[in-house]
Amino acid sequence: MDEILNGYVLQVVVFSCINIILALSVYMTLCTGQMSLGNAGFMSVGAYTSAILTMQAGLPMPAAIVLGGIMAAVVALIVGIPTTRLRGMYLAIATLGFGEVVRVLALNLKITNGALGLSGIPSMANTLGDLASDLLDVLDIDTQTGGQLLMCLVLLIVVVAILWFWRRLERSRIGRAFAAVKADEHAAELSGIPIVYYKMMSFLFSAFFAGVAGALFAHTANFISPTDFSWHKVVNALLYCVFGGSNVMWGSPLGAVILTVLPELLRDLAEYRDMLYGIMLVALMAFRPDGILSYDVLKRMTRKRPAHAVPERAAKEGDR
Amino acid sequence: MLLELQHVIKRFGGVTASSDISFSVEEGQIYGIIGPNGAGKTTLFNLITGVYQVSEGDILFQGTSIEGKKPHEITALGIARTFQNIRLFPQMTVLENCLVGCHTQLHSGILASVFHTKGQRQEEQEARQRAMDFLKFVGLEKDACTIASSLPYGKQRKLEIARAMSTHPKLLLLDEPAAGMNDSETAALGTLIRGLRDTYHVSIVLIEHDMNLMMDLCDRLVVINFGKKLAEGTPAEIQNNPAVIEAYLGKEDEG
Repeated sequence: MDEILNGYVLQVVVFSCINIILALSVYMTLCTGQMSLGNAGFMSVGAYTSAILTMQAGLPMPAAIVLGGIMAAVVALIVGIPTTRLRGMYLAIATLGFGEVVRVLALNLKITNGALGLSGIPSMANTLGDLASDLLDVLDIDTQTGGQLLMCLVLLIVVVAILWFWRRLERSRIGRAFAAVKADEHAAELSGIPIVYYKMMSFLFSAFFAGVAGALFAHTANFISPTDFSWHKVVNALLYCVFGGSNVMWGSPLGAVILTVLPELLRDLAEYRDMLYGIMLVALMAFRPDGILSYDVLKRMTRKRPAHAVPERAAKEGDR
Repeated sequence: MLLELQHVIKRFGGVTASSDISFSVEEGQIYGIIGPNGAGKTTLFNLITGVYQVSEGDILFQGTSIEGKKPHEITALGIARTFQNIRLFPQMTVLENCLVGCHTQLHSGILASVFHTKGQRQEEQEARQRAMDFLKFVGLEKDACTIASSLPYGKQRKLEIARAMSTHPKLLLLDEPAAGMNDSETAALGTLIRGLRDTYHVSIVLIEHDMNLMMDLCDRLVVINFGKKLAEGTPAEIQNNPAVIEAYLGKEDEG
């Protein structure tokens, strides 16, 4: 029990959860065929907003985290008006530039405490540990481990909730519109889909969840500085998506978990670790350019369900 | 009058793709556009669907100008189209392609979609039913769960028609629907197009090179050459029009 519940393992779980949310946020824009690399910036906005609101305004943590996400979405609305009209590489460069602007702002503003960053951000583990201290006493778990454990639980619930949310959305009229815009903008527009509206919608969702990921990061690491949100972060997030399979939702969490846990497992290899990591990425892209999970793989996995085979059923089924 | 083109001119830089084109389509008509390759037929479709904006002149749909409207707004008004080079959503199933076409008919927002409210489920159910009806009409009901890109060519063309019909159009624009089809397939397509008009009371504008099909199917035709209107009339009038004969067969004394 102690081996599983040690701080190090729990820390890896926490990072995995945050990386899953970040990867999903990148996936959300990929859903409409946009490659937005501004998510490190949105994450930064969410993290600083939530940290400042809890530290200086004394807001309760859940409210601050949600407000962090909302703040990121508001910024995305302003950034998105010009950028959602851009395509492909131009969008990638513009959003990457936005991320750098946010980083430089955080580096120079007073309220973000410049390069020193913000320390002493209220810790989610401590808050949860204090809240549940009675229960933890009964279970004979010390407050610190218990708090960390509860934090993992909360993060896992958040991850599941986001996955549920997006899965539901993908299987609705809105999800079909996203997929149509991704597949063929021109045909989508002439099928009656306002493409700018749906691109913007996915961009805002992406920014909101990146902001939430940032806020969660702030309250789990308890310290943030501008270097935490450099462009490496978003390149990693994109890597999670592409590695796991960027065409299906389950690819992002899978990629995020593998690429977060694997480097930890390879810690013994010291300087060879990054080399192995690189070789793995090259190998995957060579043999499975669509990532680990693709439409075909998921279809093979779900083929046993007979519902897909019979058209009559398909027509009647409400939720497929 | 359902659709009315009034002295439509479209210029691309120095090139005039359409110059002074006027014609009108009445409700319930099957209206043909013919002309040699590069005459500017598809340009007309792009103008009617809002992909391009007219340089001069006006296009009226049900008496109101569509100038400045975005393609998706025009689709919502009731104009649907198919494409000369098929543009399906290749990774989606046949049914999903049609459901995308139903988009303008559905209204569920984000929350209703996520929580699958009663209204949303009912709406989806009806959309599926409607999409299946159109698939049945074009003969694709057995392929509803097939991935669109794996359909044979002829069926892909039919799916394009079913998807366009799913938007509930009053006017359907078909861009060379018989391209690449053999004679019997073309004849079947003719029956299908007539069936669409008779069953769903949709007016149809058709671009096609197959003269037998066009003469047989269309109530009226317009002939376009080098972006200009050459002639307009019933199939019989067009077949006997000297200007049309000249454009297609050349002048006698030139030969």
